[in-house]
Amino acid sequence: MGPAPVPFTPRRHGLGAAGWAGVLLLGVLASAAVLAPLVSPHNPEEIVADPFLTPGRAHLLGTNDIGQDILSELIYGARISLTIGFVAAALAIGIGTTVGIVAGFFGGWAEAVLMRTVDLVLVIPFLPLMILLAAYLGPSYWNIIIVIGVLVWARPARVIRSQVLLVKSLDYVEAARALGGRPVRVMVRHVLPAVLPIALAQFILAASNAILIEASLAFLGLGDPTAKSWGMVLYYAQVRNAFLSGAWVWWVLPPGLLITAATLGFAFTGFALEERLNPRMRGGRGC
Amino acid sequence: MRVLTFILTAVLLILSVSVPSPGQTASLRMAIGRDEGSLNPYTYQTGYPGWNLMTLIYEPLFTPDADNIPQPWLVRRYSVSPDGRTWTLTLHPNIKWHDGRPLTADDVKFTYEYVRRHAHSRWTSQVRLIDSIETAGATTLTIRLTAQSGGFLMQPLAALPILPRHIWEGVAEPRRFNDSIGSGPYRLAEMRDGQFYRLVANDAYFGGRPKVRELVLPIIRDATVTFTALKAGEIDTTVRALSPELVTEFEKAGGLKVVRGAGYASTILQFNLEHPILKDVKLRQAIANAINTRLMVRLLLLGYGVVGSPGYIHPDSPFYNAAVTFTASKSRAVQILNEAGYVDRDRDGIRDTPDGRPLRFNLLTLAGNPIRVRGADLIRTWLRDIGIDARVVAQEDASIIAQVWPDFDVCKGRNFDMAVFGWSAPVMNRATSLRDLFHSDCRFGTINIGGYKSAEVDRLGNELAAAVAPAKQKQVLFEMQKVIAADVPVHVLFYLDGIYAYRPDKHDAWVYQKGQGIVNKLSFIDPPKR
Repeated sequence: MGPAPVPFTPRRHGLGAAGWAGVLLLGVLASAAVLAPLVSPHNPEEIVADPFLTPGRAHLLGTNDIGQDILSELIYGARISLTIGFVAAALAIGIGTTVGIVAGFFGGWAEAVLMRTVDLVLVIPFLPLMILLAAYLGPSYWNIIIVIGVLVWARPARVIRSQVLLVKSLDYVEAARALGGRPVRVMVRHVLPAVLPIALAQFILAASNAILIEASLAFLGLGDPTAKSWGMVLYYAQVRNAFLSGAWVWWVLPPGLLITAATLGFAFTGFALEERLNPRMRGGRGC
Repeated sequence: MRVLTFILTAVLLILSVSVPSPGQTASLRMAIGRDEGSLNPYTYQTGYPGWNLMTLIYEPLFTPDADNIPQPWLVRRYSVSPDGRTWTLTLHPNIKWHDGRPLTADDVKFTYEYVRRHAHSRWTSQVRLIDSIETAGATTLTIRLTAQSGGFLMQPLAALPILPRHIWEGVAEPRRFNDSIGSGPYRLAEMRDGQFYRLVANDAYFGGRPKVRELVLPIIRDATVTFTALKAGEIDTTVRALSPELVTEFEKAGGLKVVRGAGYASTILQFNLEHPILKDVKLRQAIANAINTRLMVRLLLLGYGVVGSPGYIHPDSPFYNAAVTFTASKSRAVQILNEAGYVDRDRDGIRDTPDGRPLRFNLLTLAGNPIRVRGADLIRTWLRDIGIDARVVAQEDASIIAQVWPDFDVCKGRNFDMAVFGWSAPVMNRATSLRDLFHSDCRFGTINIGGYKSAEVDRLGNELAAAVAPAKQKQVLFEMQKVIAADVPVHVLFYLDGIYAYRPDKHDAWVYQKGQGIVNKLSFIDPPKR
């Protein structure tokens, strides 16, 4: 759902109900992540009880396969899942913005090469490549971030390039070039600020994507087994037979709902921002 | 009239095929996890259950009993010369191949020579000791060895299945040869790639009537699906061991029975003894002292297991030396480290060697195995508590083997620090187990993946290899366990019990082979009478 370059009529100042709902969801999750040491009942790394306890007063969501408190795991899991989401999205947007600006600004063969690469990345079957890459690089926190980063950058690159094409032809940019500004300087000083809002919306959407990918990779056993992300909680629940023993109610459902909440939060926020920051709406402002 | 006779004969034939005799299970559905080729000695895939199923069709001369002691099977009588180098074997007279031809000493001689020419990791090296084989008549043969060997009875006599000479004689590429005519209590009646196998009892079997008439082996790749099917009654049992967390669940479930017994498969912390820092025995002792194996058994196995023995041998094994004990103590770990000069010199929370290198190691573990991954993680936290930094690296099987045991050949060296590793049950049963595990010469210590070197263990290992009398073997193994417990080339963490669930109303004649489980020949046929 890239920003189509068609006239965009409904002009709002707020984010809309869905947008605010998204911000609220994210806010709750982010504060849980930040305040984890204060709000979580136990240290998630610590063995606090017998393994496989059912929910009770001491452990609201029971304990996992080695006697760690599942609720605490989930609260701390917000840190890892959100961090991976943000860092991977930052990496993806970093690549995407650079590629988009360079391609859009220079045109010619640079654009041809870069944009065909983008097309290539976009048509590669996503899931198999992701599994292959993750298996090849090996399960670690940073490898997951790299895998997500190199897979998610293509769409933002496209969207940003189209915005660059628009900005490039604006008078002030042309003036800067006519005055002999070096390309790098023009790109950084004039083009980059103009595409940043769009990059921000894309960033939020990429983060939503990244959290989902991290959870899938972790669930498939391709994540870092010592990092307590939501996906990893799901992985252990699955391999220790939560689906067979009935433990799925407190071991699978909660992390699943949290992943849904985070993805939804990001998606709502992202769509609202995208709508709000659509290039057509920014016509007279800012420059 | 002729038509009537035909119909009658046909009906009788069908009845004789499909109706089980009294006391015999008609049909048993036992799920397996993957394809096992055409189930002959060169095409079966896995050491368990592929090997166990293959030996229902092809039979070795001897077969281990429930206590893992090899007993004569195809062989009726045997004798060993006083120098231990000449074995005289007499076969049962009336053994037939599934195609009706008789199995003779000639087939045995052919097989032992065939596997020499066509390498198979499980037999080829074990028959190298053979100097000559001579047959005398249809049932007698004499095997001469170049040296006496304590392990000869177990391998190859109780391990190498006999091939029919008239079928295999011209076969140049055995791994591509998909014939399944053997001599065992079952013959392969039907197989569908990736779907199922169907074995049917061999009516002409020399050793009597199999306990199950028809054995259907559906292939179910996923463990959860397998156990759901077992619970729902779609299968009667599975070769998969039940995970500890499912035991109570399955014990409560109606119509199911859970058996459990000693498991000889080990889970170990393997050190690289060639590592510049880990080669210090003091450090290894400190690490062993920091690891709470009792808690591991309680947490990871929910109590369904046994704490690792310091001398590798499982307490239920007849060769276990109960005098060799080890109790971990964190304070002793700290004390050993302090005395050996491993203190934190740069105040970063990690101890350093006297010359300033930090005690920082990678700890490899198998990504697909949650018990090993969790085990590695527990070790990491316990080592952190005594100032050692272990970084858990979870990887797939192939990449772990590439670092720990390149090409499955110890002679090719190793490249790792520590690994949570494990050996399957048969390693424990070999008479030469501790020599294989710890001899410094890679030709003998074929699974000495840590590169352990000890003159004492080498000397004892050579004695062990030559020892034929069980009492002598036991005495040498007792000595070896002492040395190993002191040197800590590996730290044995635990042995997971074998836990199996089945529907007793279908088949309840299962035999639990010690350390190995219920999927073995004795669950399907009683030993032949001599």
